[in-house]
Amino acid sequence: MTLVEIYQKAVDAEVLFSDGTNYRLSELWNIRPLLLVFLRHFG
Amino acid sequence: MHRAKTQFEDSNFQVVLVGLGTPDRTEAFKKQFSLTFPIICDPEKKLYQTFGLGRVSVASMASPTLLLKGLKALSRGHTPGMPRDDIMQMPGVFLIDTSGNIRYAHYSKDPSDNPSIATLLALKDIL
Repeated sequence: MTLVEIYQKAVDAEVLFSDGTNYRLSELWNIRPLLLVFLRHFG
Repeated sequence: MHRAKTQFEDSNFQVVLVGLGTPDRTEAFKKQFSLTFPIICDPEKKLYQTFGLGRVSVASMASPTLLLKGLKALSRGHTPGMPRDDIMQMPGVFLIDTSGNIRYAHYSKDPSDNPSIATLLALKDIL
């Protein structure tokens, strides 16, 4: 496993949540640090 | 990760998952496993691509190392469900601070390569 410390700007994108709400990622990280966990698949 | 939800909340992170399913399938998945983390739906993998998460190679999926990890998981009672979506899509984890800077990134080397909960919780110390 490799955790890489990098310091680059995250791309701000509009995202759709499973409950049907839309947000820009910046609306999330502006509040609190955001731990974004990308899953493989729903298996 | 779900079992550590309180610890993540205490760490002042907001944990958001990103999945490949549609909103309906994602909600069904959340309900099936009683997940309470919010989940972003990215069936077209746009966000995966934006964050540089690629697909695992066929050779990597058949590697002895990965097969051995799978057998160990099975021996501990972890059985895989019916895979849906792109099973070759690689996972990853990113910590983004309140200024929009990516402070840590984990690009999985293979499908089983995920940071431990302890490793993720320790990231609060770098903020």
